[in-house]
Amino acid sequence: MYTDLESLSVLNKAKKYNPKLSSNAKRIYIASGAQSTQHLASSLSYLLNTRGIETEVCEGEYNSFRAEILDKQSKLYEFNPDFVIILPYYTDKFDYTQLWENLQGRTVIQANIVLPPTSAYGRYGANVDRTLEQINFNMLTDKPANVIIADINELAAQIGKIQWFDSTAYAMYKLGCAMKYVPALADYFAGIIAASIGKTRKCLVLDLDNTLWGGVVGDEGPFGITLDPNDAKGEVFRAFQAYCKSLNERGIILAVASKNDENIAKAPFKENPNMLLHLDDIAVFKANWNDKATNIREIAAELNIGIDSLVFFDDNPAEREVVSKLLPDVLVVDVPKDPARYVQALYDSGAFDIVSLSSEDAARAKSYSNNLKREALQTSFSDYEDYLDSLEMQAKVEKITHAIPRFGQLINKSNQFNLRTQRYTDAQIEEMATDENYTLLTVDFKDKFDYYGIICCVILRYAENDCFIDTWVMSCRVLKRGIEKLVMNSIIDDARKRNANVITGEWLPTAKNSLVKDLLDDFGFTAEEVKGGAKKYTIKVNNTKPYTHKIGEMKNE
Amino acid sequence: MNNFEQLQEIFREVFDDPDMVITRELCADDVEDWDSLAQMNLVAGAEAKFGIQFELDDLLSWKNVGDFYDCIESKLN
Repeated sequence: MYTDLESLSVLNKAKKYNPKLSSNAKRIYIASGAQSTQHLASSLSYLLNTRGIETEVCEGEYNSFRAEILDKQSKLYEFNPDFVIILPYYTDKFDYTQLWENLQGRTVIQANIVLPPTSAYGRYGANVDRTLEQINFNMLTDKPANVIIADINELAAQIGKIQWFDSTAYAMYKLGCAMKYVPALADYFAGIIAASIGKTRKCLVLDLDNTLWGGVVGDEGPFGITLDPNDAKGEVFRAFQAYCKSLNERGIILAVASKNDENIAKAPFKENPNMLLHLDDIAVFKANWNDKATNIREIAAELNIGIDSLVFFDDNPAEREVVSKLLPDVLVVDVPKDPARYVQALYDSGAFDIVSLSSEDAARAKSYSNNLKREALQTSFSDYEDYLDSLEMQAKVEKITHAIPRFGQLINKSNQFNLRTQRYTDAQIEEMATDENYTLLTVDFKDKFDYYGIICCVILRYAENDCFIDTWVMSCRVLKRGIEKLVMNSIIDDARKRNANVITGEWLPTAKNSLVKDLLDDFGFTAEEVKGGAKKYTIKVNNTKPYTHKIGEMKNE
Repeated sequence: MNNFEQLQEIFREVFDDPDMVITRELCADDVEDWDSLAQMNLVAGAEAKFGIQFELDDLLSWKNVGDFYDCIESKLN
């Protein structure tokens, strides 16, 4: 989306833009309702030119779309356009579908109606009068193949209706939207026109470091990169990967262009379970020390597609600059600094906008929705046990022998599922991990819907024949799944292997950990109240037996 | 750059004339390209650059650059 000053710059450049028309310029006619279109027309022509498309734009008279379309002698038919944009204002309550049959053989871009932000019925309006919604809905259900519905109502909603409408500008100039959004409106139409004459992009070329994951894999290794679903920043990169994956499922080819050693660049794809994109999602993988323009050229050659069907997404502005300069036909996405905004930026670029579904696309979309349905059916269940079964849960319990960042993170931020709320530094954790009197356990967990990463940490301290549960913390995202039982089994196992006779534990109350007040009671430990409301626990190892749960062993992929 | 000079910059961009000099007395009749479309660009430019919003009475009342400028100043104060 343009900033105000960018919009201004487009408006001023469009005003001066005076195309030399060639005979193969596309002819666009704007048939408008009760709104003026001069700035839209010049901006549209200018923006299409920046996309390499020559056009001649002709505006109809103000509020004359009905007459111009129904009268075969009108200036519309004299102009003989390839594209007819029908742009109503919300006062133009009309059945648009009846106009379309007059325009057979031309591509009709029918803008839907931007619903106004006011109603005589106040905020109750939608309960009373849905005429405009009905008009918009009819457009979608009745449209023939030559008609494309431009969802201007959605565009205005994304900008904000109160921003979009400018009553002063409407009164003064009959502008259907604030002047500063005219370029956004023009760009929307430009995208549709570009897509419908086959200027569509086929392949997304991705950088790796700080694009698909946080950090530099060459420095931090396949597990050190930021991609953990339990980390705010990791979640953001995973969301971007998920969006790329959904583009791929839709038929967009994915490629990688990264300045890296190939085996280092590929390691996260092979080894890091937090990766949503896998090597077989990537059609061409270029990780080397060549410049990106060269790699991008090679990607196009290997895929046998034009350079102009590529989209480049890289967090590094210098790389974007080089690619824009050397390969002007590549669409270089203006990537924001904040990775949380990557998905929106890629969406806003309109890079993969389409105007119709090919039969292949349609088949893919259908099989995709069938899969979703199948999954929905599979997840019907009669009781909670049944539900747990359907989750297909898998876990891996591991002993760690070195401090890992997630261990300290979970221990230091868990408040609710935390028996003793002991906080440890990474250095202390490292010390315990390498001390033979301790066992440090992590639990890695996933189910059919999601991979959760490490969601539980345990520290056991051994002294003579006693196994003391120094720490047991768990992420609250996975409660009530039976993981507690799995963990207790692992504790008992470890205690047995080390020939401990008793397992002891403690619950030290805090303002937040009442959740686990009875955790050890429920596992049959003998409790003893001590002062301050704390509880001390013991159980003989010989009196324990394994608990059953529904969690399978995690298989490495 | 003072506000009058900033307004002059907006005129220079809209009329694509880097040497354009504006005075308080300058009006639409004096500039060949100053039509209603140019007027809209000038208004949008001033709103964006000064971060203000004009009212209908403002847009209807200006006779020359001086009026336009005074209105901007009054919005900024």
